[in-house]
Amino acid sequence: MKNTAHKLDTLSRRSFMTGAAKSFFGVTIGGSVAGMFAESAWAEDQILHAPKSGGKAKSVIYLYMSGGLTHLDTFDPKPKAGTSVMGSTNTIHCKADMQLGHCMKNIAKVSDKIALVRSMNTTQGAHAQGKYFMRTAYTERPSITHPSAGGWANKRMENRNENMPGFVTINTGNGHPGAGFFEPKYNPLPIGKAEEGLKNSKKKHWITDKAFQDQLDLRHQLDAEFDSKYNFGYKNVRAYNEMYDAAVKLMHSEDLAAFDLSKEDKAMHLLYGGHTFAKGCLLARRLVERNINFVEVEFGGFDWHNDNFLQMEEKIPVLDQAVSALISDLEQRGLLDTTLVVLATEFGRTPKINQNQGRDHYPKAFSCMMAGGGIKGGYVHGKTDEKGSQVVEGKVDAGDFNATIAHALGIKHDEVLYSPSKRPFKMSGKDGKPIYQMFA
Amino acid sequence: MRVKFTWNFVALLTVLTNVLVAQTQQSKKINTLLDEGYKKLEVIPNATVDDGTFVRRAYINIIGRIPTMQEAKAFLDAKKPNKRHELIDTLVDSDGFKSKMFLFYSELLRLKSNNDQHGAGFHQFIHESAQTNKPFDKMVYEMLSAEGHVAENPAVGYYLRDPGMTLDNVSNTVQVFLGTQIGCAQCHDHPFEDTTQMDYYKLAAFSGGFDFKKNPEIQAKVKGITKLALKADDVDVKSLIEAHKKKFNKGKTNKNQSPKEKVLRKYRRESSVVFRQYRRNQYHDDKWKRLRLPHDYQYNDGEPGDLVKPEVLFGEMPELKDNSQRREVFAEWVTSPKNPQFTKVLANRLWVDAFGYGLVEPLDNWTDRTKVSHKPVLDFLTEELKRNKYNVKETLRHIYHAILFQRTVYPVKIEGGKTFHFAGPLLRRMSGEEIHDSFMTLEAGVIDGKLNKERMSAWKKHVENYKVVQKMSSEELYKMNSMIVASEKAAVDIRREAQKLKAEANKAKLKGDDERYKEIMSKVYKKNREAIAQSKQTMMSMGMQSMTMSGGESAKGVIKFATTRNLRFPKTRGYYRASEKQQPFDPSSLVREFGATDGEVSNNSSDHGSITQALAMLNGKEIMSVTDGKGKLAAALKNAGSAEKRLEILFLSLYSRYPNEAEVKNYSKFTQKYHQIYPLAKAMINSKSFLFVQ
Repeated sequence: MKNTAHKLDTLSRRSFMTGAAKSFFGVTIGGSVAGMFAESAWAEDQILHAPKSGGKAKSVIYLYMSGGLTHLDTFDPKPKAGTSVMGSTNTIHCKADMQLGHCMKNIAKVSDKIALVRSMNTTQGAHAQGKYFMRTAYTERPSITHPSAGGWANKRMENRNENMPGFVTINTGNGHPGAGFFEPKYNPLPIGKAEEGLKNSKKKHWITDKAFQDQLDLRHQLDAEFDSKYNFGYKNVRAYNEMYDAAVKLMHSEDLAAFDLSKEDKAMHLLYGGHTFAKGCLLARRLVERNINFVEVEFGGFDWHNDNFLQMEEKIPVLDQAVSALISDLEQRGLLDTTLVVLATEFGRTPKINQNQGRDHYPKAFSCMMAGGGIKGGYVHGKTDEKGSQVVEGKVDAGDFNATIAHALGIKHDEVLYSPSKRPFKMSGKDGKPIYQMFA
Repeated sequence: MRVKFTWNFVALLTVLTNVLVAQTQQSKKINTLLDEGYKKLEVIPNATVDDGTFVRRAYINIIGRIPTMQEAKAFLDAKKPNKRHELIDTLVDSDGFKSKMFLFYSELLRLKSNNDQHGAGFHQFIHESAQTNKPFDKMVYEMLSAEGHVAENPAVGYYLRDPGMTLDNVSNTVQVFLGTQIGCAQCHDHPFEDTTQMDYYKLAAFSGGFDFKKNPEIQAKVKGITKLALKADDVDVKSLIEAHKKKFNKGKTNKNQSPKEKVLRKYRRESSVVFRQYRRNQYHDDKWKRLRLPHDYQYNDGEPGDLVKPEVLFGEMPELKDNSQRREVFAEWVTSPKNPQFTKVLANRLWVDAFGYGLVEPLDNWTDRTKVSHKPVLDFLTEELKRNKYNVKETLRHIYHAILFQRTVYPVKIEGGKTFHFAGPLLRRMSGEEIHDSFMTLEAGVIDGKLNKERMSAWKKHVENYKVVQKMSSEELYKMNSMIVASEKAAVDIRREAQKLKAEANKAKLKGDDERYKEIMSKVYKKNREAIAQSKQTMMSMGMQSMTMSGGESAKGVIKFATTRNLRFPKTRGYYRASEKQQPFDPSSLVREFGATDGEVSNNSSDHGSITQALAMLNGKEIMSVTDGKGKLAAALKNAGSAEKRLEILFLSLYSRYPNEAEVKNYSKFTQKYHQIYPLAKAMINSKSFLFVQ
């Protein structure tokens, strides 16, 4: 108990001094000033963050399988459990020491690059709540919106692209927590369909530059009174100033080209596949090339209460092709070491096959995947029992999972940031710890 | 004399009504209760707003769009002291209010208009409920107790919305109507509340008999058709049975293996073609079917697989004599005035509609620790709803008449869950639908009463066809069925080829080869056209043209009814309010860009700002259509004679007020000529005074 208290103390002292550095020197810690607070001065920190292997990733591509990806038919097959559990799913053996469902033949070929977490375990069995928990490491509360992992990364990391937000979401739809309670400028740039790119980003040709500029100036003038009345209290009012400024900046930026997938040759499109999710992965790679810190791509429709095995044959190959393409493409370009690829979902599916040949929600045991960004390839973390119904080794919850992403990025997973209502929050949730074994 | 008397009489009536419409008794009561609350909280309520702010707020909040230039002007110029309350009454009684209520319900109930045939039915149900101001308890009762085919009872759309997900539907029902979240108890005891997994299953047991596939009535009809089909093919069932008995000695061997069954099954399958779509658009309550505990049930109060007896979560357990009444009893429990949650959850939702924040927040997660702002107000509205028999329109009328509706906004964002003193309504951004409808109004003027006739007549046709099928004799059904079977058989080879090609095309597409995809797909389209022609020809040769059904209905319509899987929402051309369009809106639309619901989760629209919204408002096609020189606003601007007049038109149309002196001075130079007006007009539409509701 005493020890924990002491650690917390160190932590808060450290964040106080970091804050002090900012206000005294007007700089963020770095260079010579950083030396005062780093290494020897913070020896205790090294105990907290013993393995030094993290911090290699500069960007994250976070692939979210919405609806609850079946673990048994993909990352955690149980060949010995028989057809009552496995239905028509067969198992393939990979070159790395792991087994996958038979629809993942391309991921099997890059199995030496990926690490699996087979011991995911949460208590959130409904979609909206489950998604929220996986993305934010906190359970949904009415009083606050917590930031998603991308929100934390955007807040805690330097934005390496000056023309657009360091956080882009593709096809994530309504209800994404985004940057939560952080300032509006940390919110993601939301893209709908990847193949349609960033819509409305070009000024209509018949509008002169002057007319456009006049319009912008006039809007500022018109808003002045409104802002003086309301700007202080209402985040959403302030947000619109920032959004318009950012939108105009982006309109004039060369980085717009990132959204134009026609710039990729046919072979590249053939490699990833034609599904909108595949295009999302391709767009994510193009954004990472332009130094975007965090790109989240959602792939919907995994809620197979009916016909699990028919739907699997249609859908998993799409996932398989796009994800394996992304991993090998990143590697080819020398970006895999600095790009963490994450595949997550809100829960798994019941080992019991229901009367409609489907599987129902199952948060007790499910699987996620990571690759690149310092992750140990071919590694499997955790274990479920012979039916995939209980985690028997190395339980991981959303907090640990988020903490692992933080560790890969070199962000302190347990650094406390305060919401405007002065409540403390961490990227790792209440008490998440990175899975250090995942790192090479 | 007589004329004069009549005039006096009318004048007197007007005076009288003016007094009557001033404020309702109920709204005065709300004022008093709020005042007592302010005193207790030591809060000074905000001042009342000016006319310009009020007229804009009233139109957007009550009927979901900004006022037209004429409407704004008429209100601003009116001198009557009572004009605000008069406007409230006019708006509540207008078509625009019905449009607003439709969106209120469709978001609450997660309407998806394009789901199979039942989506169109549920759309119709909600539309009709909003148009007729159906009492809310009646509306909910109809949904929760619904049974049958969607064409005969569109309320079944509520259950058909989530086929095969009975348990999820139950948690959703409780969350939406009773403001109680029990979702986690589906898999384990609720970690914070008292709800156990057993409680959950007991509640779910009320709907344990759901059957989305079987329907005894239809089974009987299929039997009739099968009989005629066997007769037509001269199949002697008796001899088949005999042969079968001789072979296996006893009739009790595996039924599926017997030749009789094999023959009969094939016939039965073919005989039910006419009901293929019927099944997925109806459901039947099987009173013999009962809910069991899940296979991994882990608590001591039951074993996995145990039968569960229906029992309510809280309040009075209604009498349940017979399983066939399970859902009526459940519906009655939910919607009863005695249900401790139902009425106040609704009262709170109505309050939010007017003021942007609940007396209880969040709206759908009431617990023992829930704090209520101005509890006497909530209690009063709850009692009022019970008294006026769940009249949503009248209750909202009282709420709008309360003086709070005229106070300046409270400009600080309240985080959900906290209590709020309600010194004024909350400042908010217009919703996606409100922006859409405001654009439509700028373009086309008042279109609130313009209903989507195409949708309505398509639905009417569907219902008529359903009725024809209901009345058809076995002979007719048999004839119709064989016609469909024959026409499908005639085209089966072509369709198979088309399907093969399509699979090939999809493969190419998934691989990323778009050229090849397009190339193959053009062949697919050709094959499909061939197949349709072939089917048609077959039906013609079987005499479809001359065939009429009982009641004189043409066979064509009935065949359409039987074979259409998805009753697609008709394409809407021209100007319509958002309420007359397909729900939810397309993800790439402006409405969704501004956070309108995706129809997946109840009430999940959002008011977040994003860069892509700004881009849509700067360069999107919707804003271009408002500033393209066509439509009502443009016409008014074109006809205006002076810079001042044009400025006035812009301010009245977009901000619902006259420009003040400073504004005339600053902005008139931008309205000197009609064709130079564009930057100011667009800047105004992009400004916060337009996007926000003060």
